[in-house]
Amino acid sequence: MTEREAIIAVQMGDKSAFRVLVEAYKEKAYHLALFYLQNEADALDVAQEAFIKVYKYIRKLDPNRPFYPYLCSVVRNLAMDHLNRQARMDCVPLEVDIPVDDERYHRAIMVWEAMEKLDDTAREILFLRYFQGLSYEEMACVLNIPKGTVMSRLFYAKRKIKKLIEGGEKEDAG
Amino acid sequence: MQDDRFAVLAEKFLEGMLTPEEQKELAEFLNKDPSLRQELAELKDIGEVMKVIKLKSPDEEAMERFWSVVYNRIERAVGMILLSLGAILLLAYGVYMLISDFLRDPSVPIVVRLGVVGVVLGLIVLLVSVVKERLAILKVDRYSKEVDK
Repeated sequence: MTEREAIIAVQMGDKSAFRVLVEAYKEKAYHLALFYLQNEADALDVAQEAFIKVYKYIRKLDPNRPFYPYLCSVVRNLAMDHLNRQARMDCVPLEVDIPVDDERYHRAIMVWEAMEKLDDTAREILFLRYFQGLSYEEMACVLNIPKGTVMSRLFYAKRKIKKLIEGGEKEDAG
Repeated sequence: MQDDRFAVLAEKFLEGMLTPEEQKELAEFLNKDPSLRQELAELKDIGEVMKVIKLKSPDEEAMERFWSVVYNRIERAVGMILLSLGAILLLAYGVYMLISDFLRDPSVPIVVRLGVVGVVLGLIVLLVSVVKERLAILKVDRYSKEVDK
């Protein structure tokens, strides 16, 4: 069953078809929630809550449009609400899996460490692009900003990473 | 403004999305400042490296239970709606029976009967007000608006 078929089936009352969407995006939704909340239990809760919210309004969804950007917006809003309500506890940063045999292993670690030092805006734009796989248009929709701003933010974020890596290399050399 | 234009062009270049006109525009920037060429090469490399990094898979057990938790919560919400509707109907019927007998009873003073009618009317007004408020909130719910984007 395709994403479109699943949305139409749910809109027609087939609750079990919603499982197709949940299975397809649960991990991405969880990672996105964890990115904002840095707490595994809260991230799981927010990701599940996001699917329930989406289910509630699924009759209004256009099945011809990609599903994930919409879910992404809901996860982001719920995570923000959650952060406003609660103080951060048990911070567990996102963990990454980099293939050790990859020739760019060390470079990848440096890039990830630099990314963790970025400000929230830069981290968020890079995360949505490279770890959630959103297009410029989808990011513009999720973040409520023009597409041009998405592009310039991405460029500046990568520039910041480059500077942070260079700074680190200089420190190591010195 | 010029910086932002360069940033947009550079980002499109890094993703291989430049049109021929934009390529010319970017070339002008690069001719003015040749050091930008080196920077773009380094940023392209950062973009490539980012694609190598994968997020660690979440706890398998939690992911396996994910659907059942979502499904149960959806079903519970439907159950709650049915339960509430049933409770309202039964309550309304009970109140009606109680009041109709009570109001017809000649031994109850008129003041008490009027008081009871007032209390019941007040409760109805409050209930309608709460329902109206809920419906208004539903209309401006940001999650419902996300669909229209």
